[in-house]
Amino acid sequence: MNKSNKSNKVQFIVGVLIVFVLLVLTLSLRGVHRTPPSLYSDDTINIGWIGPLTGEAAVVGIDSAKMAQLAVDAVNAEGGINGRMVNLIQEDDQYSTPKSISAYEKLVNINGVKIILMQTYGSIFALADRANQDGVVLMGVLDSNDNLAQLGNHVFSIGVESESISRLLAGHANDQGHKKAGILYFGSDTFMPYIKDVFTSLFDGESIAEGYVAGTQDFKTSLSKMKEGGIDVFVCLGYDECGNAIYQARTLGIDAPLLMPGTVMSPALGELAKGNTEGAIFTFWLGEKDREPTKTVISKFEAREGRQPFVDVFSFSAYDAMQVIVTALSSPEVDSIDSLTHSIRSTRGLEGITGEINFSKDGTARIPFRLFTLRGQVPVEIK
Amino acid sequence: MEYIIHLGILITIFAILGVSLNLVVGYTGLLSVAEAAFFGIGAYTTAILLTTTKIGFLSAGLIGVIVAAVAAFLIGLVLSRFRGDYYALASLGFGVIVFSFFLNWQSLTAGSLGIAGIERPELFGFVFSDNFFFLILALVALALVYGLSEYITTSSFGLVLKAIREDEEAIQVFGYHTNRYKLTVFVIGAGLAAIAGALYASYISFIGPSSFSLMESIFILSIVILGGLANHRGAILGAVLLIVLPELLRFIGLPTDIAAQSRQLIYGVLLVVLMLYRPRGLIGDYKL
Repeated sequence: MNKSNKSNKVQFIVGVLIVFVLLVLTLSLRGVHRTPPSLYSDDTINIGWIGPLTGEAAVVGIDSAKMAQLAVDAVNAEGGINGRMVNLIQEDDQYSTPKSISAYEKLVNINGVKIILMQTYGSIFALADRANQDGVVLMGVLDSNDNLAQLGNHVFSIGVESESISRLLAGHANDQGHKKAGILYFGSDTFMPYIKDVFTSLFDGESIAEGYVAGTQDFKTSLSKMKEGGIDVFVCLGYDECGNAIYQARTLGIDAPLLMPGTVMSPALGELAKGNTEGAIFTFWLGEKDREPTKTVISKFEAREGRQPFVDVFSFSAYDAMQVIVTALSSPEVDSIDSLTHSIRSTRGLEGITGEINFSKDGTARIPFRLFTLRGQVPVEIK
Repeated sequence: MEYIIHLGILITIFAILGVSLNLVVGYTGLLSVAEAAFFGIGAYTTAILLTTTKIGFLSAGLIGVIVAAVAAFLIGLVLSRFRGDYYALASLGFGVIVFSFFLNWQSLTAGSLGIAGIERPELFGFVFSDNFFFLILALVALALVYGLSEYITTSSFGLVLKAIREDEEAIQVFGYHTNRYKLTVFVIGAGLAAIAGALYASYISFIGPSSFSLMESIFILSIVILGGLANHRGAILGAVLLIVLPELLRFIGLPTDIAAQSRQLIYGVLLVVLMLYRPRGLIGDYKL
């Protein structure tokens, strides 16, 4: 064996050892402990939140985490749950399933968390079996639909009904007599392609569907294809990058009406679209902002962040999810995971900031979208 | 402990991918960005067979390896004619096509919804439902892949690969049909990546197209470059570093509001610093 090979081998072994020693040391310093058998540690209830805080889909995660924290702070200001303070531990997963699983394992096995709010849609499917086996309550706070309803006793969801986005957009396109839809959709998650699939199945006309991956900025090839195909309605199912697509579509001379999900309300998307979102038809959940509980929470959020939430629906449902959990945990009858899941499933008529919260027996609480148009960058409901 | 075992499993799976890609990129000098495609073919084949037939994990995984190898052979017939930037671009095109298949072939792959409920491996009546035993299974797979790769690269075949990397035209003068060598190593690399795919599908229990996008290929390429090109141990070290580093950063007590963003920043800076001080990767024997 020559000298260089030997030195490489030593460097390799030393490198691997250093990384593992660092990991073990860090865990030891932070206090590794086994998951406690009960819901609580002595004086704290740890609750986890997993979702995108960085990356392309961060817009759906950042305010959700902030709203969950706001709900926790409100509970703690009132003295906590039966004298125990609530501690929210947020973990970024960049909307990636393997990272969600890493975050889950860390929360459950290092932090002893038994309840997790989950913002990343696809990861709920990957984590459902683990949560059911580990006795962890997993609550999706992005969407609520039939697919999530089948994931077992420990999996819940509170959020807008995904299918209602497609139903409303396709219904509007059919009512307007559109015959050919150009659909540009974000293909790097499971949510937008699902919306696309439901839309195409409900739309009476033909569809030209073009997917794009995270990080795409130039949409001209797909848009040119749509233009040549003679589309009479343009559907952009994506996040902030749709702003670029909308601007490029208008520059290419595509003047078909624009249909979108509520992401059209993102300020970053608006800037990228350079005013071309005016008149867009979109599904949205405006929140019941005239109601006192909602107004109070929004004003607290504004006081803390200096702005309103970017996309209400993704953040309001996180606040309400926390309210559902806190209400259930406050009940004297809830002393185990089984009684907690039973209590959540029985939630009826709880006043939340999304309106009245009612859980079905299948573990879902569904909020229907409504149809809006943008006038002067303000959403106006289409009755 | 479960958390560390989980990280160990991810490291092992990505180390297999790193070692397999190193054969193509590090030893042969072919810049392929199609690794996620073969990773995905292995994962999807295993997942589809496990969820729709009564076939066992070993058979499903083997079929996955064969499907990936056949796909690599077909695309490799074209790719082997290229070198340098053109090779990278052509492999990128293949990766995009495969991703589109995963996303749009609804009846087979369930499209965007992905495939859920993939069972854990069962070998000779033993179910690897415990993560610790799954880690051992993954380590055995890594040892086999490592051993095979070491055998290949230290053989006369491996010497020809390195010669292709250094000067393809020169070795052609000696009568070597370099395209055949490039095709063979590409097919072997794809088959090994499919092993990682089979393990991944069975471990995660859910797969969707987004796990096999271009970004995933770039991540695997980063493992190889950062760990060290043309060094199998480098690929393993790269996987350890790129999986563990972001996890370690979770434990830095940063203020909640800026924690996630700061971690990304620190992670990026650490990688840049590493490449500045170790341009050949941590223990690499070759520089692209």
